[in-house]
Amino acid sequence: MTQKILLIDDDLNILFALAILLEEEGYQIWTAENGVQGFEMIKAQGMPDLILLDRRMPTMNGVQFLEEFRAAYGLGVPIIMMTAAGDIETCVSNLPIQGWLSKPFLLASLLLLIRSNLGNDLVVSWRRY
Amino acid sequence: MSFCIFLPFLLGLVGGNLYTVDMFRREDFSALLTRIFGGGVVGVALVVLMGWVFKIQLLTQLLVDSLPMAPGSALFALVFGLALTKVTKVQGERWAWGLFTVGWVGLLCTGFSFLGLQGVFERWGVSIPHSQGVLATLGQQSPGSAFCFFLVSLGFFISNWGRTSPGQSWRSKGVAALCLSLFLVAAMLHLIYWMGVSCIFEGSLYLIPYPTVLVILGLSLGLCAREWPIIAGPRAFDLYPISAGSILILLTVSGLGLGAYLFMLYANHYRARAERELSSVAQLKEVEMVSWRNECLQDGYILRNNRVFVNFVERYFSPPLSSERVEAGRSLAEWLKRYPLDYQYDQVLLLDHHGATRMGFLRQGDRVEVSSLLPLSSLIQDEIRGAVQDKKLRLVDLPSARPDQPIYLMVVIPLISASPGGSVVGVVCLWINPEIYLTPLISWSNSSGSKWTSLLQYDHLRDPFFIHQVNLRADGGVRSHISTGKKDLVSVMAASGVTGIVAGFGAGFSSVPVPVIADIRKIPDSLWYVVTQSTLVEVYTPLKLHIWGTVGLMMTLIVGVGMTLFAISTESREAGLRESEGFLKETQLVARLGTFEVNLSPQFESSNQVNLFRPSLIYYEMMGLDSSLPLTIKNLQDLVYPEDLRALSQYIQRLLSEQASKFDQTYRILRSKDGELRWVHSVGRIDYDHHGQPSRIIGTTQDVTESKCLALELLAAKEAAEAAAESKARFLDIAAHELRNPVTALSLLCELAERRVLKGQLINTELMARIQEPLKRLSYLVVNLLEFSKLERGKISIDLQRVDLVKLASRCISEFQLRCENPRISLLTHESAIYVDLDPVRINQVISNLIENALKYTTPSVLIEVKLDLISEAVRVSVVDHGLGIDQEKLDRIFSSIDLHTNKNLASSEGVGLGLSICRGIIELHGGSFQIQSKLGSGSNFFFELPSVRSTV
Repeated sequence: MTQKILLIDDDLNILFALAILLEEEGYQIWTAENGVQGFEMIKAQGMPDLILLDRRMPTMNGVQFLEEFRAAYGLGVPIIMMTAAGDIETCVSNLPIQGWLSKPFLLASLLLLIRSNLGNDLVVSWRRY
Repeated sequence: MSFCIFLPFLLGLVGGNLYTVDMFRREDFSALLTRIFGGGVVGVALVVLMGWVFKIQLLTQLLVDSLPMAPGSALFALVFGLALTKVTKVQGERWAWGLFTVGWVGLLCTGFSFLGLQGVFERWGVSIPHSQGVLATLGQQSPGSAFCFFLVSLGFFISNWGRTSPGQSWRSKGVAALCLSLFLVAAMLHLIYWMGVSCIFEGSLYLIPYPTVLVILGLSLGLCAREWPIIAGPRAFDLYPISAGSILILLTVSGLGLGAYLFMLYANHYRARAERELSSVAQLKEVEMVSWRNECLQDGYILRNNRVFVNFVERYFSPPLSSERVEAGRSLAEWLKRYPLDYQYDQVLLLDHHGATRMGFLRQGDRVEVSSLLPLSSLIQDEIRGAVQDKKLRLVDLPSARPDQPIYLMVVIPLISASPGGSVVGVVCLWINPEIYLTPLISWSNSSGSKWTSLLQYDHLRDPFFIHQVNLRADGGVRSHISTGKKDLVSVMAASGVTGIVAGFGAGFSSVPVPVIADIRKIPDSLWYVVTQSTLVEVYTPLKLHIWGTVGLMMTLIVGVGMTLFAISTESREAGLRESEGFLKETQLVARLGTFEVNLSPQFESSNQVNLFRPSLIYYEMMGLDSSLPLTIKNLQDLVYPEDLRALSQYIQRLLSEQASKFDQTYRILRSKDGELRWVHSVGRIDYDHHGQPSRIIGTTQDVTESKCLALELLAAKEAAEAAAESKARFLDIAAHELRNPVTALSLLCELAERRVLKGQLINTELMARIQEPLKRLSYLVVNLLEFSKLERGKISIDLQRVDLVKLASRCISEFQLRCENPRISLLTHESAIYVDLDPVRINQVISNLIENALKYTTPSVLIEVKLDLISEAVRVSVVDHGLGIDQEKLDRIFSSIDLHTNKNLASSEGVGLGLSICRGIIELHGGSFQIQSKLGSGSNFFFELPSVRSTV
């Protein structure tokens, strides 16, 4: 079963590149440009297996989305936050997330983080390589 | 003339003050003049007034008498003044030595001036009436005075020496005390010596020497100067603690001494007068005595020349007819009995030429009786024999054998017979009692009995143990025998041959000797002395009439000295006070520090009294109040800034309830004078009485407006700096975000491209466009950041040119219109051309940026207008869109951040805030202003105004 990843970022180029790259890795990717679209996507498509979240976004930023999401759906879905902020520690500490990435990041580290949060994917990957 | 007595004092003051006063400072000089002339004029006026009121004619005479003293006194006073000055302002030991030398010179000069003056007067034979005595006294006194002067100068020297080494105060004190006691001993000796001499040789308290008095006065003044820290300055206070008692005692002593001296000077004068009187009386008595004796002799001649009588005597003593002799004897007796009562005699004796007594008659009033014939003493026998031999009349003074016997004057009359070569036929002796016959002539009455004349008879050969004396009085003579061992000095002096005016003790009528002055005159060719005496009571009685005048004069001098000292001390004290007050005021003024005292005791609580509050002058000034108006708590409360009044009163209430004493509060006042808001800082202490009730608040209030404003400014600056730092941090944060995002995108897109290439796929144009887009953003950001940084640091310069703004704007708009297909940008202006001095490249950049922003943040349907308006003295360029607008909160932050996501409707994410900041910077460089008006829902208006408008051509 293909694992679904919700990708929320306001930078269209990142969205475009990540979507293609992650699809090539075998994930099913849903994209959203901000938190509001993210919620709409969840309502339309159902719950993803993992959410990749940008922190700074218009309309509804990452932190707001995170709070609302956790309030609405609990801690079941792992969320990885991507941030371009300078002081990451203060930005991500105490947030109910499973991991974070500082922009710019290597694709490999993102993949590693996704796999570690999606448990069984390790077998798939290992089989593939 | 009156000036003389003050001359020394004035000279001393001048001399002394010359050193203390800086002559070139006007106020000092005038103070000096005031001091000297004030003191002098007051003193002279008082003396003159005293003389006039008490009718003391003697005063002038007194001043004349003291005139010769002036040079010496002046010199002394000069030395004294110098000493005073140097004692108070000692600079070093050098001065002490100088003073010592001057003291010595003064002493020598004084001595010489006394002696010299006396010599000069004597040589020229000039006699100043009644002042020789004084001059002579001065001459005699100069050694003693010189000694005193020496001691005084030594005392000053020593005291100065002590002064020069302040660490040795005990030693200098000791030496000064020793010196003082030496001086006192010397002065006492001096006094005792002169008083003793007076007592022994003159029998009266005669003189207290003037120099001694002056020295005592000078010393007391000197000690005053030393004892009185006000005069001597604070330095003396350390060495010599104040002793007002000693000053008082010394002043009193000197005043009394001077008074006593003046008293004695009066006494001298009256004594001289009494002596003159006495000697004139004595002269008269002497003449009368001599003429009486002559008269007695004349009576003898009359008897001797009576031929009838001589005939009777001749017949009586002629031998041998006895019946005839008896007859003659009877006739002679009859004749003698009838001897005229006009003549002076008490007893008549008829003797033969051998000296044998034959007949004697006693006169009892106006009767004559036969007396018994007693044998005559050998003295009388000798006298009679002598008279018989030389046939001349003799006056014989007969001493009395017993105290109750009268002293007779005997006239021995040898009777010569009428026959040629006449021999002595007999001798008649007339015994005359001077008590009876002389008394009416030379006695004189005086109601008080203080003047009398006496006859003294003394023969050291015949009667060496007793002096026979007859005091002649109006009611008869009083006889007495005086033992030579007795203390009737006058009589003893007379007996020892002293004549002239003497002073001593005379017995007078009473047995108690009284001090008298006497004129002793010896009667020639006799054993008699006429002694005219007057008790000294007679001398001092008129003096008593002037005693009040004397006392007044004395008091004047004391008061004068005291006043001068007081004036000096007050002046220096007041000067000190003024100085310290001025200092306090100045420092308060400099520190803007006012002092106050609030009386909180219950009796003041209810009323708004003036004395409720005791502020210093600077306090009034600080509060902007009129110091002449009463100050109450009420109008002080009015001064306090209303916002602070509540806090202040709460603070005070809290302090009072806690019984805390420290009061420290900063608050604002509205200065009454100009209504200016000032910050003041009050620090004080609250005192409580024993009931725990607040009694008063004392403290200071300082104007701290400047420092408070500074502190406030500092606070604001700190906040601004913090805000700036925070905004910078945020700016950096955002900038980092803006940089990171494109880099992330690039990196991911490159990864993607790489994979495509690895898979042998082609990189399509879409991917390339996507790669280029973040690159563009990055380069835009980098350029703008550089630009912004340059602007911030003032590194951008503008190149002003006169440009037509309309043309510039339209060119800019046309560029945009070329770029985008939808021509929604329009230029609105009423002017054909507006010339402005500006940098065309930069202004073009600003307009482009604004249009770009408007394009970016509005939907394509929204119209964008560029307006050019001429407002007075300026041109306004507005870029107006009718889009969504920006809410106020975002508007406030629009320049301080590059918040790209605010109100973003488009996918574009190029930094707006940075661009706007750069625009504003450029406009401000042109001296214009950049503003944004925007309202949510009704679009935004970005506009700027440029000055130095060139009117339309």
